[in-house]
Amino acid sequence: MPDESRDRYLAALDRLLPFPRERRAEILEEINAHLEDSVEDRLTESGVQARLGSPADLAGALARPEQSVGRVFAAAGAGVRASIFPWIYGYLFASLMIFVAFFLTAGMVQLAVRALSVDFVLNTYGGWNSAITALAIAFGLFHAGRAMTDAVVTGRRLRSEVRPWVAAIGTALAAGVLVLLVDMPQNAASAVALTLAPAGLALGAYRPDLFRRRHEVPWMVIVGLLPLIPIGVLIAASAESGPIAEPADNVDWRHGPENVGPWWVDPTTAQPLATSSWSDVGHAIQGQFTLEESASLAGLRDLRLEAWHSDLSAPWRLDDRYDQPFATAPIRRNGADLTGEVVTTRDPDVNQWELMLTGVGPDGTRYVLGTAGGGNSAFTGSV
Amino acid sequence: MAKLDLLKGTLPLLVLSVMRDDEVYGYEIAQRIRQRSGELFAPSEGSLYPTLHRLERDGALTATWRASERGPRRRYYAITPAGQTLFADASREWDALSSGVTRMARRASNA
Repeated sequence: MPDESRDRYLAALDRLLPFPRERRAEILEEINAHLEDSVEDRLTESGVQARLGSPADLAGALARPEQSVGRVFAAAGAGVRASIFPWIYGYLFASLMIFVAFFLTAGMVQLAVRALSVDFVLNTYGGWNSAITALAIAFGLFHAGRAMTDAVVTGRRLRSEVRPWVAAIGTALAAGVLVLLVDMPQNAASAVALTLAPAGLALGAYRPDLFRRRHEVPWMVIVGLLPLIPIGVLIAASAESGPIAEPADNVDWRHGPENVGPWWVDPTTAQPLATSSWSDVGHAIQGQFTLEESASLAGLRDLRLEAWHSDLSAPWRLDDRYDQPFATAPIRRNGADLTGEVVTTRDPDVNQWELMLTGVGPDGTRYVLGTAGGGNSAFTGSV
Repeated sequence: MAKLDLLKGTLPLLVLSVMRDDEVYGYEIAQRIRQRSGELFAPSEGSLYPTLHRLERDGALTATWRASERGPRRRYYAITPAGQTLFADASREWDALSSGVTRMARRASNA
């Protein structure tokens, strides 16, 4: 008949063993059988427990062979491996859900606008599509965090030991990937995206049962929502005759480089630049220009590379809401080669930009010498 | 204490030495070691079970749960071919070590 001290001993051992539940149960059963046999042989319960050692010592001795550095790395590798497919699954599932929800919302808004005759445009410009994409990534990472923890625990580590590591390393990786590789613009949407993705991973590690693990549930949701897509298509199609999003009154959509300043040389008659282009250099954009042999920059000073907000959809134009470049940098000259570097992705609301080469003339006016073309800030694609 | 230090690291050898063709559970293994060593060795159970699990993890032993006529079911261990090879190697090493230690001890006492 086990006494209370055995229950306490086994309960303490159960808490301390860094193994999955099934493995712990087996060890406890084996130790319990040993205590039972010993007591039947007329040994005292306390004496046998003393020979087994304290629960902490016994748990440590049982775990030690399985906690080598190699095994920890193997467990970490297993965790990463196990998290890949759940991440893809979670990302695809969330993308589908968001797509359906977004489509329906757009249709409903169109209908409401028509029904209520209000002037409202559902505008995802400004990077909020990034946040929506990040929500899908975060949902994928939730699944990854859950699977990673499960896999590493199976690799003989305590769940409570594993969670902080999964959350911390995962957060660092997710944030690093988003900041360094995706190269997001600095705006509110990016902040939301940066918060959502690591939070999803940590949530998966700490609250794995937040979303039910029943595999049929997502499929039921998908099958349930799919019929809504044609309904959304019909709604959207019927809304075409309704109010069309008009540009705001204060935006001159025909705005061109001449509004930055007068041309130094009339572009219809001559070009001071033989070539002009830009390229990525780390997180910055480098504008590169080559002067025509006949071109002279005499009289010009303070040559600068300027990055302006623009709208790249044809025909090309600058965004008239801004009367200054959002970034400028001095031009370096090496013979006929002119180069300058500006960061185009770190200012708020920079989604599309255009690079201009300017210089100050003898009359103090800043003139436009040419453009190097424009581009999209990273991570602002449409959902 | 001196005896324990001398025996440190020999528990796997002692465990394998009491396992032949039959299956044995933990408590029985401890009893066999005690009896076959003439009560000279009494392995601490706190070391025995970690050793059994390590030998199982290394493939020297296999373990199977079996119901008992009385009391809880027990985990029976059986030696594998890899375990027999390990035992043969460890025995040779032990023989070489013990004969070397014996020779040195005798010389020291004759000096």
